[in-house]
Amino acid sequence: MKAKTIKKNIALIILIIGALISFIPFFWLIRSSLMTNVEIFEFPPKLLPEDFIWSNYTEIFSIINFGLYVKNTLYILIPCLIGTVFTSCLCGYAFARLRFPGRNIWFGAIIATMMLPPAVTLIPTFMMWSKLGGINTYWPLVFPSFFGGGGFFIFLMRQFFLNIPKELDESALIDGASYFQIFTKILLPLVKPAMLVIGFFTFTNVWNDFFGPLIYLNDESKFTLALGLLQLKGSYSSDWNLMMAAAAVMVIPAVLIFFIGQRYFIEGISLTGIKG
Amino acid sequence: MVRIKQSITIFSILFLITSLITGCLGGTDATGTTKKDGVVQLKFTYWGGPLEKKAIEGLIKDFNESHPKIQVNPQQVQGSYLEKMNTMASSNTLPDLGYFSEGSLPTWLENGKIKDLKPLFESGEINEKLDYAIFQFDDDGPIGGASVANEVYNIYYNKDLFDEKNIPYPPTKAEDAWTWEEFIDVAKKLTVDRNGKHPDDSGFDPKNIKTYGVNNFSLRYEPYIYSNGGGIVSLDGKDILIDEPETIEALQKIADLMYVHHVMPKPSDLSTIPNVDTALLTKRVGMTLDGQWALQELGKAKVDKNLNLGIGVLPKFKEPVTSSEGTPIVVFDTKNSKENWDETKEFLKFIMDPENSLPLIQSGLWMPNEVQWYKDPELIKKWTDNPVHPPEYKEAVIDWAMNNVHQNPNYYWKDRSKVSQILTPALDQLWSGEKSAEEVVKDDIMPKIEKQFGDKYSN
Amino acid sequence: MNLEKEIKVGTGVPKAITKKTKIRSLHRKEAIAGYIFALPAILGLLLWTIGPMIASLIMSFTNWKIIGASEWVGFQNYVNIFTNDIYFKKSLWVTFYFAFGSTLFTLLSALIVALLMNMNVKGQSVFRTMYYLPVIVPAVASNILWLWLFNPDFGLLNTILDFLGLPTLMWIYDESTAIPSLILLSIWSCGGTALIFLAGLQDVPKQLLEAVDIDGGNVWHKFRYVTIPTITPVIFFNLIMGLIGSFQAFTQAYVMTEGGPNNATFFYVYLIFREAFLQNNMGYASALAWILFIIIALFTLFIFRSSKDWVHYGGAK
Repeated sequence: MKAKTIKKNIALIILIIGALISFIPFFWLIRSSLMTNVEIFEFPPKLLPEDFIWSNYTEIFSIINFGLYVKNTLYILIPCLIGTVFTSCLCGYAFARLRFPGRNIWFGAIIATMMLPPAVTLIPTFMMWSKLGGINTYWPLVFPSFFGGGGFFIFLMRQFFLNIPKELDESALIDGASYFQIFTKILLPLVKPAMLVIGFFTFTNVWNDFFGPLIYLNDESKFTLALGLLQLKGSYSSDWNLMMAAAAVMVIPAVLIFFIGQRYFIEGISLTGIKG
Repeated sequence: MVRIKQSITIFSILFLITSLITGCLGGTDATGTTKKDGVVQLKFTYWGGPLEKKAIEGLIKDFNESHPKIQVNPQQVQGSYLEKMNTMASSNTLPDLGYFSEGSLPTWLENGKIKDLKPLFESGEINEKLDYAIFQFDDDGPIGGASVANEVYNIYYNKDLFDEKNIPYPPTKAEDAWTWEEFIDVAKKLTVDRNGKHPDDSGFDPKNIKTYGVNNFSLRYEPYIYSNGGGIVSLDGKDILIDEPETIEALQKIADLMYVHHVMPKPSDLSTIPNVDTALLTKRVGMTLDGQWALQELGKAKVDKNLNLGIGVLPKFKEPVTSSEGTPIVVFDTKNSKENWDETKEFLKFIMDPENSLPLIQSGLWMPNEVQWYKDPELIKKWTDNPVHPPEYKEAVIDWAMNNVHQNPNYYWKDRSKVSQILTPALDQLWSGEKSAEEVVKDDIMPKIEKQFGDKYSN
Repeated sequence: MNLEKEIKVGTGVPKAITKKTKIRSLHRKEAIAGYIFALPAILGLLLWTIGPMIASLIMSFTNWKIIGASEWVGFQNYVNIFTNDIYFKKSLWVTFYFAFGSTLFTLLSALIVALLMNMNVKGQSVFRTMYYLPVIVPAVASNILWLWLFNPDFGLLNTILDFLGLPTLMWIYDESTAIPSLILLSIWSCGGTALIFLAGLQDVPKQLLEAVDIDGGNVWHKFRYVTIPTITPVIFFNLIMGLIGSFQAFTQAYVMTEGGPNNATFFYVYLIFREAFLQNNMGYASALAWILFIIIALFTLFIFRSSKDWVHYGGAK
C-alpha cells in the first residue's frame, strides 16, 4: 500500500510538471502583452514587465475592429451550428436505426471521407464557388455544414443513437408512430447531450478555422477574427506586445466556451476513440 | 408518408431561414461597382502598414471630396496580396485600380487582366514620369503602369552611436562613397558582443552580439552586384549575368559580412532584430540598408522619440550604384473600369501626381515619380522641408536617385519572377552559410535556369 | 433478413401472404425514411467529396489557370512534378518527417499523460482541463504565440534553457531544428489525444489486472500484456487520425515560417496552396493534391492491413 502512495505521488509530480509546461506559454503570452515594445526587446528578457501596460489592450482594440470580426465570425458560426447539429442528428438517426439498401456502403464511404485530404477537393470546390459568385461571401463557409457536418459528426451522432435502447422506438413503431415522430418525440430529447457535444466542437472548428476564410474572403469588412489576427501580423510584425495582446483577446472566448462546455467536450472526446 | 413530408418541410424551412441569414449578411458583393445617384464607384486595393493605410485613406478622401461625381473605395489587402488578386480574378471581383506585384505584372498584362496604359502615357495626359520607373517589358510594347512612387536604397543610421564611438558619419555624396574595405572597417567598429568585444578581438563571441554593425544587405543585394559590374540580366533582357565572376564575387562578399566578419545578423538571427526604428533607437543595429520608404517610420521616430537619424549613400565596389523599386498602380480590365474609363483615368492621374500624394511624400513613405521634383529647388523644398527629412537628404537621396540608379529588372524583364523563384531559395543557402556563392550559382542556379528556359539564355 | 426467411418458409398460407406484403411495405417505408433522413449526408458526399474529387482528377490533366486559357496536357503535370519541380521532393520529405515525428511523439506523450492520470491521482479533472487548454487555442493565435516563444533572444524557450545553463537553440530559425520545433508545438497540444487514451484506459478490465497481480506479474507485465492490448483500438484510431492530420500541416508554414528556413518547413499542402493561389496553376496544384491523396490512401491501407496483427477488438464489445 505504501509503495502505491509513493507511486501516486510521483505520478502527481510528473503531472504537475507537465501541466506547468502546458501553462507557461500562456503566462508568457500575458506577460509580453503587458510590456512596451522596447521592453520586450531587452536582453536578458525580464520575467515580468516593469509597469503593466494595460493600454496595449486599448490600443489593440483601436487598431483591430474586434467588434466587426466577432460579428462576422458569429454570422458564420450560427448557421453552421444550426446546420451541423440538425443534419448530423438526421443522418446519425438514419445510419443507426433505419434499414435501407446500401446503408453500410454509404456509411462506409462517409467515414472514409475523414481520411481524404481536403486539399484534393479544395481546388474544384473553390472554382465552383467562384463560378457561382460565392467568393467574398459566407456561403462557401456555411453551406457545406448543412450536409451532416462531415464524417466525424455523423459517426459521433450514430454512436449516440446506437447507445439508446432499441425497444424504445420499436414499441413506438408498433403503436403506429411515424419515423419522424419517433425521431422528434422520443430520440431527439435523448441525444441532447450529443447535440451539445457537436455544438461545442462546431464552435471551436469555426472559431479556429482560418484556411476557409483565408481563401474565400477578400474584403476586410468580412474578415473573421482569425483573419484579423493574421492581418495584424502583417502590419505589426515586430510589435510583439500588441500581437500578444491580440492573441490573448482571441484566446479568451475560446477558453470561456471550453469552461462552460467542458463536460460535453470531454464526453465527446472520450466517445470518439472507443469504438473507432 | 405525410409525416416524412412534414419533416422535409421543416427541414427546408430551417434551411431557408439560415440561408436567408447568411444570404443577407454575406451575399452582398462589396466590389464597389454599383452606381448610386450618378456617382461612379471605383474600388482601389493596396497593401501597407498602418501609417501607409492612414495616408492612402487621406489621399482618397481628398479625391472623393474634390470629385463629387466619383467615389473611390479603398480596400487594404494585407499579407497575401497576389493570392487575393488571383481569387478575385477567378470570381470577377477584381478592383478597378490598385497596387500590383511587379513580378506578376507581365503575365497579367499579356492576358489582358491589366490594361495597357501605353496610349495614356503617350497621350501626354499624364505628366512625364521618371524613365526608370515605367513598367514596359518589350521595346515599344504595352505599359503596365508606372511606379506610384520612387524608392532608392540608402544606408540609415543612428548618429548618436557614431558619435559615441567617434566614427565619422557615412558619406552623403556618391563620389565620396566608402570602398567595401572602408565600409567593413566601420562595421567592425560598430559591432560589439555582450562582453563589449569587437569582431577582431580575441574571445569575441559571434553568438551573442549586442550591436550589429550592419543589417539587411543580403535582403537587398542587387546594388552591389551592379556596383561590381555584374548583374542579374543585361539591360536589354537578353543575357543572364548571374554567372559573371563580378556577380559571384559581390554575392560572396555580402555573405562574408555574416560568416567572415560577423558584422551582420544571419538570417536565423533576424527574428531577434526589432523593427528598423526600434533597432536603430535601441542600438541593436548600427547601419541598416533600406529603401527610402523606411524614412516614414524612421522619420516618425526622429520626431517622436528623438532618434538622431542620419542617411548615407551605399558603399561601393567599383561604381557607386543604387537600385530602385516602386509599386506600380495598375488599372484592372474590369467591366466597371471600362465603362467608366474617364473616371478611372481621373483617379489614376490624381494618385500618380506627386502634387496630390504630397502628404505621403512628406511623411517619408514615397518619393516623387517625376523628374522635375528632383531638379526644381522650389519643388524639392516642397517635399523635403520638414522635420522628417534630415539635411543631408538632398545629396544622399535626391541626387543619388537622379544620377546613380541602375534600373531594376522588375521594370523590363518578363522572366524576372520565374528566375526569382529559382534565385531566392538558392541564395538562401548562401545567406545561411551552407554554400559559397560560386557553388550556389554554378551548381544550383544556372542548371535550373537552363532546365527551365532551355537555350533561351545560353550564349 | 432472418425475418424474411421465416416468412418464406410459410408461403402458401394466405394469411402469411398478406403479412408478407405488409412487412414488405413496412420495409419499403423504412427504406424511404432512411434515405430521406440520410439525404443530407449522401448529398454531401456526392456534392462535396465525390464530385470535386472527379473534377480535381480531370483538372490534374490540364494546365488550368485562373488567368489565361487552359488545355488538356495529359500526364505532363505529373511528369513535371517528378522531374522538374524544385520543391516537390523536399516538401514531401519535410511533410513525412513532420507527420511521423509529430504523430509518434504526440501519441507517446499523450499515452504517458493518460497513464499517469489514470492512476487516480488527486485533481484529475483539473489536470484534464490544464492539458486540454492548449487544444482550445485557435491555430492562428497559438502559432503567433509560439513564434514569439521560439524567438532566440527574447523568447521563453531560450530564456528557460539559459536559466538551466543549457546551450540555447535557434528553433524554427535553423534548418535542422525547424521541424523538431514544430513537433514540440504539436506535443504541447497533445491533450485531446490524451483524453481519448484516458477514456480507453478506463475500459481496461480490472479483473485482468488483478489476475496479473495474482500470477506475480509486475507493473510492466500489466502494461504490456493487459493495458496495451486492450487499448490497441484507441492507439489505432489516434495513429490514423494523427497521421492524416499532420500530413496536412499548413498553418505553421503559412503563419510562422513561410516554408523556411531554406524550405525546411515547406509542407506539402503549403506547396499546393502556393501553386494554386500564388502561381495560379490550378491544374498543376490538383495533380499535386492527387499525389498526396494517393500517398495518404496507401499509408492508411497499409496501417489497416497491419492492424489485423496488432489491434485487438476485445471481448467486451
